[in-house]
Amino acid sequence: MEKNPLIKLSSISFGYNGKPLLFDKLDFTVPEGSRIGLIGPNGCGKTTLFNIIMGFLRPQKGVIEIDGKRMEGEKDFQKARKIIGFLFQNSDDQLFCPSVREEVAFGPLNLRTPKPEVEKLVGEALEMVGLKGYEERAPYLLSEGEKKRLAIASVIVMKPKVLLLDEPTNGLDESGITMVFRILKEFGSTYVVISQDNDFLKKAVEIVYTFKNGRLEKINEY
Amino acid sequence: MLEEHLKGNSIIHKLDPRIKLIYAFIFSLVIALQNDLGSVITGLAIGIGLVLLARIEIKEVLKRLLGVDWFILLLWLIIPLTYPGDTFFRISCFKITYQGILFTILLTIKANAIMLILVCFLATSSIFDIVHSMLHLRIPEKLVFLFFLMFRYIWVLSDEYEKMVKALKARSFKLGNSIHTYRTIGYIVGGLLVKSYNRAENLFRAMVCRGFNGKFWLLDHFKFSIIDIVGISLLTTLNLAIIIIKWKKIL
Repeated sequence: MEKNPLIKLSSISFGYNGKPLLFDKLDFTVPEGSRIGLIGPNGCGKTTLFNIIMGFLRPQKGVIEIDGKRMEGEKDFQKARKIIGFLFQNSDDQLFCPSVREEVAFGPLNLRTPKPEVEKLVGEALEMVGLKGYEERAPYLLSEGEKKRLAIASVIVMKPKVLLLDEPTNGLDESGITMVFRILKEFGSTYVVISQDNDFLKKAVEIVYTFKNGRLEKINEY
Repeated sequence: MLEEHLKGNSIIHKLDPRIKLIYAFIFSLVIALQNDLGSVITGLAIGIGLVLLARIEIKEVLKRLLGVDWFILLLWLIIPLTYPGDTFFRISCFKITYQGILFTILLTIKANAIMLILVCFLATSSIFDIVHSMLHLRIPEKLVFLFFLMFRYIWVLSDEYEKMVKALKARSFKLGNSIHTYRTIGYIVGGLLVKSYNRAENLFRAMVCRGFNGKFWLLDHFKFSIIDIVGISLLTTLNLAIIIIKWKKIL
């Protein structure tokens, strides 16, 4: 039976101001439970695609559906962002709170989760990424690998239905990459990963797409 | 800068950060409004006393004071020459006035006293506590987070700046008085501006992704203790001392 698509982009055309189209009638579907990889040269539009899904960039043409709902404006995207977790390429762009604990709690507090529940969720998320005991440390003083793990914790704590991960292994050593792989396995839900690391993709995803002539093309299935 | 003296077990460290924030403001205001030597010297003495009470490393405090005194030095070069009043002495066509010197002394003492108070109260709290205190004191959220994000991104931009400087050094760049130097510095400043703009945009997106809709929710709350009551009494008395000394012209 065909799985319900969590994200569905149909005939998306997008180009930055005054530049040729980056996507031309691009179609992309993320069914529930799927693990998808995106690969491609710099500037081909991988991060742009994520920004379009999140509603940060609006396509000139095409339809975006998240969890079966058509996205018409900012209000629709605000609802959609509650079910999509987005991990940025650069952790420094994502971390801004004064302490690790506050950083992870930021999302659940915005969702008006009761405080005892927030504390529990924060503990679980930090445990999952191996940052238990770091609660009162300042995020900007952590190492690159620790920042990445914290950024992942701050996303998964919101229990999203689907994760968009932009280069999650970028700048990580072997143990860091293993840790990200383990976290994704534990997360166990739907995710789309942008990565240049073929070995990581082989382990972490089922299908790999690349960009060709402004559209997505399946290049591998593991 | 703010978090270097965080660790400590003094009464100042133990005070509720809200009290420290309020008294940092009150002391600064009271000292800034004084115009007689007696009360500003009292302010300076209180500043020194509080720093000693907080057991902050004197060397570090002096470094902070030096930062302020560089600016004060500029005032010493300008005010005594331009302030109207009686001639103290004359160098060629320049007249240094007695009132100018007195006014600059007053400013120097005020600036140092306020800096000592700020180091004592703000450097003994984490940025996290300061931000929380500001929110608890109903300072507008936008202003508080502007302050916090500024603090947060000074680190990031300083890292970026260091990376750029390393990249320049790696390519044998040396500062000099040439168009090439000025152009390169322009590139660095421009680069930092563009990067800070991009960071700000990405940061906003990161916040929106995690359900941010303009309201910052707090996880922790402060509690008053007996130390805070003692602290409030002591600090109020010290503030009153400055005012009374001016009022009664004791010194």
